[in-house]
Amino acid sequence: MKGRSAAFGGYLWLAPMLAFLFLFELWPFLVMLDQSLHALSYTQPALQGQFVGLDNYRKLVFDSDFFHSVRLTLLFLLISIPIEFVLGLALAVLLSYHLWLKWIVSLLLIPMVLAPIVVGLTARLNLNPDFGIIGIWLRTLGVAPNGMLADGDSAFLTLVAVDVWQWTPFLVMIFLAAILSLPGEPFEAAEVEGANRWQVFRHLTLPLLQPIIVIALLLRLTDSFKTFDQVFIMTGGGPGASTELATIFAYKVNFVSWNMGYGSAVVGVLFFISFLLTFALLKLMTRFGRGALP
Amino acid sequence: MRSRRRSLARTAVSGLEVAFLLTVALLSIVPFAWLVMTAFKERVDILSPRPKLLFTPTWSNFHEAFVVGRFDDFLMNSVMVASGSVVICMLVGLPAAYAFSRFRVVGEKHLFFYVLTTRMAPGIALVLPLYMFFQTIGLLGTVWAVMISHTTFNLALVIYLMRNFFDEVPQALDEAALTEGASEWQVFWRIVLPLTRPGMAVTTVLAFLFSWNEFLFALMIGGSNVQTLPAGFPGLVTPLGTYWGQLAAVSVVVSLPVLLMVWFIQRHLARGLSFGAVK
Repeated sequence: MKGRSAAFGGYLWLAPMLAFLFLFELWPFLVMLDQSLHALSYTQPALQGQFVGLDNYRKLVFDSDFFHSVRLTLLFLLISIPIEFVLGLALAVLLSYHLWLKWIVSLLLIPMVLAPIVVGLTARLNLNPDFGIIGIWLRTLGVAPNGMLADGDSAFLTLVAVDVWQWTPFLVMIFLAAILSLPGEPFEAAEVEGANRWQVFRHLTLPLLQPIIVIALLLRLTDSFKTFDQVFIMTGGGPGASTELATIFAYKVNFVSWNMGYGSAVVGVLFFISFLLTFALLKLMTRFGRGALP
Repeated sequence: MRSRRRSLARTAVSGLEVAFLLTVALLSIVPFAWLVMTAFKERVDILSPRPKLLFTPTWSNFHEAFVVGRFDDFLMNSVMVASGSVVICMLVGLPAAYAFSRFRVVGEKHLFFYVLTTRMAPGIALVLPLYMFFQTIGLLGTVWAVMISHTTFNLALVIYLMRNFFDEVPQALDEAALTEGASEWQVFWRIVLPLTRPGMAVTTVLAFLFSWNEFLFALMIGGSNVQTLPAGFPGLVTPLGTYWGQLAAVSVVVSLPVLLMVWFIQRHLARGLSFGAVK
């Protein structure tokens, strides 16, 4: 075990953090869990916080809107993340061949560091079929004459495209950093042996990058799961419920319909899902032993 | 002869790769560049069905949003919230990060895990409990509430990153100072903290940016009293129409400090955004 012992097991130093976490996170969270056991709605005067046991959770199990939103979120993750990884790896490896182009990483960073709400607005402006450059271009090609956001399927695909636009650069950046920090000897040996680029990538780069790929995958999973602002400003979950991701659904139940009792149960379940993802992240990061974790 | 053909093929492939990379770079910036241009266009030019690259630039959108409209207040709110949140994050997070780096803490793994879940949970999962909490204690719609709400997700970042930076300062330094009779606090304040100044700068910038860019917490916790710049966006998307010019102008004001700051800490960005997983 590392480290020296401190008075009170170091808890004096942790006291501000613990106080903060307890007061502003744990306590409100427990209050919310308690509320999920009550019938409470600001818009339905009959529901004033009566205790209803697990009724809200029972309702959740049969709520097709909730399952629709979870399914959409999963679909969103399953389509966008693989595209981002293939593109991100390819671009990082290509950049490592042409290091004089490394400066373009600075340009690639732009979509990633913009406020998500600005990203969504940028997409909406550019995709407008009447005056957005991409929208007009698509219309002249005969695709989406009313705009990509007017139809359910194309609106969903647009969310995926925007996510790819925004987050592929993140992967390029960390993969390139990782590739450049790999030890040189195996690659020199491979060159002496006459291995071609694909063989080098397949048998050297990829296995050596494995830890960072796993970490990046889980970071992307949790971040994609959180996607909210972009969708909020682009479609608000529409048309219909075609882009209503789980986070948007939870927002609507709580802050549009003001069903805070049922909404607390929805949020509780979402929290549980992200809890599982975080748990997996921590396990894997510990296993691969790199990075900041104990 | 054959090797010459091969080297020709190689040059061609190499050229294609470069072309591909440059295209990708272009695709990353064009949509945003279009938004920036929109910010400086008159209404007619914005809504023109023939996209205009050449136009007479105007400040009118900025004037509308920041002088006629209320975005000057929102800008102040944004600055206050982001700075305040960073200060709280550092006051609360630095000693914790130091303890995690230096001391044998009972239950360290469990605590660390709990801290991480606060960063990984979707915004709505943190904002609903906080909304109800602040409503109960009557802080809803105050600048303090928004600052605190932003600290909830930034604290994890500060603790993880700063621990990572503290770990890089050799413990031998502490031990030498301790045997000289320095107290733990002096070791932290006089020796370790000054050595991690670059790390603190990176952490500060990232925490500031995450707060500056944040939308949902500001929208719900701040309400109409304390709107930050991002929280002001929906107000410009009305049933009567979308104020594209003002939206673009506000976007430029939101994005400018972000791009500048990121440019300064670019070298450390990979490490910062991967929670220290990439050095």
